Amino acid sequence: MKKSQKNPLIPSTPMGVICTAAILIFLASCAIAIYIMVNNIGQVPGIDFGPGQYYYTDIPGWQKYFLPNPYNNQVPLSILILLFFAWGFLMYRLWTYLDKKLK
Amino acid sequence: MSKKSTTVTPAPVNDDVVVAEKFHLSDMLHKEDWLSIWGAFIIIAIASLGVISGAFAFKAGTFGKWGSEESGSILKFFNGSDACLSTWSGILLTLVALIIIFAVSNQLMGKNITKYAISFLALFGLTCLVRLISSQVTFSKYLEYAFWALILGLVISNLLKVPEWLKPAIQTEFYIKTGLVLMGASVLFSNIQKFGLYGLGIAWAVTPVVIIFMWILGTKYLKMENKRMVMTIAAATSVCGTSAAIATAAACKAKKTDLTFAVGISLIFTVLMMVGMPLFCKIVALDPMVGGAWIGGTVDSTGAVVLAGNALGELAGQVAALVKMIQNILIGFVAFAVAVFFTTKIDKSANQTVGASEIWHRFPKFILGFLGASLFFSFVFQNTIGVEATAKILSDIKEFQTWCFALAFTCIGLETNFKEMAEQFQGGKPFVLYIVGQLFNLLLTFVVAWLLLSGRIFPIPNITV
Repeated sequence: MKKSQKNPLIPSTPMGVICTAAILIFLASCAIAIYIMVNNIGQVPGIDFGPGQYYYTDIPGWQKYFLPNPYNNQVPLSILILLFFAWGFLMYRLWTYLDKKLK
Repeated sequence: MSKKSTTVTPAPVNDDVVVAEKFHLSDMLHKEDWLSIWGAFIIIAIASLGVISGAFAFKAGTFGKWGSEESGSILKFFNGSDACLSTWSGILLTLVALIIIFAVSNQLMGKNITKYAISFLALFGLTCLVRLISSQVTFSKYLEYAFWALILGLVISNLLKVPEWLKPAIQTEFYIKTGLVLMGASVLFSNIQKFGLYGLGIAWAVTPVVIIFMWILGTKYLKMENKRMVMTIAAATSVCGTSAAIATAAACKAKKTDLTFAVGISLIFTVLMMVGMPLFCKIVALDPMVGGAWIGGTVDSTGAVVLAGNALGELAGQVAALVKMIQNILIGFVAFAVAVFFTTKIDKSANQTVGASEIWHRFPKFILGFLGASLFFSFVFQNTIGVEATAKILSDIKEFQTWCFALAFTCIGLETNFKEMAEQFQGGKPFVLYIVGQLFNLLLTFVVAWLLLSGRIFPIPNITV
């Protein structure tokens, strides 16, 4: 009797199915992204930049968007810095704990 | 060259990774990490002197946009006009400044300065081509230099052969580290107060949770062997795309292919999210403030955040920019935490205890330059010379930073082959990691933004538009 042969393109495990689905989503995303770029979709009048400006100082005239203070903050800077470091420390400890605990 | 990263062994010491070696005091004059700090500090010092004295502007050159009716054709850079001369004189200044800094550094590192200078000229020429291509109107909006540098480098290295004489200048890590220290100056910690507790809650509460989620997902459930790639993708997803990926990859000594993957996938999904998220917010009639915060906390690239936020309205644009601004601060601290984590938990043998001195030996020192520049500009410079003058200095040094990263990405392309890249895909697991991680990021950021800004629990902040 002839042995049935597996098709290497068809995933046989749940992880294989998930990975294949993710690759297909990525390929579809690439196609949509190319369509968006070719058709110049998502632009706003008066704004001449986009995802190509990775960091805030990459944006032409970034001062216009990032220098103003549109919100009147009442919380002292020291409190914000304290909260910033407290949360960061807590999360770092959680990270190291989970990394050790979970196998 | 190693092909795989192991789970608990030290970071492979080869051309593939950013290397941190045992520290000696003389390293400060002879090692790449320290020389990258001094090189960047020299650029910052000269630019600052120019702005403060008002005597000159030390600013790198770049190509203006081309390819539309308003911006003109590419020929404007080659027709001998005033614009042409001004563009090339700026680029020549950049070349001179960078070649002096990098060539002298190579001399101090014990390398052949003549060979380096010759190969750097060629590398700079290739990078010029990259920046010229990426200045095309459409390309400049959506992809910019990182994408085109990788493409050009990959084409040369895979279709042609990289000549031996070009190799001395292929020093990816050096350019990345120098660029990162320059970037450190623009990471203004004082911006943390721009949106008070609201901004801190949306940007900072979510980010580490997403990083931890993606780390657990990648290393424990997907069982990805390449932990450095997991970390780089997690930082790109949760913090701010390309910039965070560069900093984290250098901090955890990731392979160049890891960085290439993280940047590539981040760029693709940023284009989608930039268009899709404002559309979704409009369809479900989401409150502009919640929508803006959601966009600011999730869309990777800062340019796309401002654009997508403004697509939803002026208020949403303002909130999106505020949240992203705070996320930008996180780059240095996340990179610092990642460097400590990998030094103490990953890059050690089983049962080995890593003491404080060992941490110092292994720690990537350029991060100190990054944080030093950030803290100095945040708390000393901004308070003494003022916000406007600080902004002017940041604008001047920004192009040097872009050139350093463009040089680095061109080098990555030149050093990468398609076979090696295909091996990094690990059956598609990095795609699963990014997609699931980004979905978690979207969900968590939305919940936190809604809790803080919908007015159901906390008062709605008063934002001036």
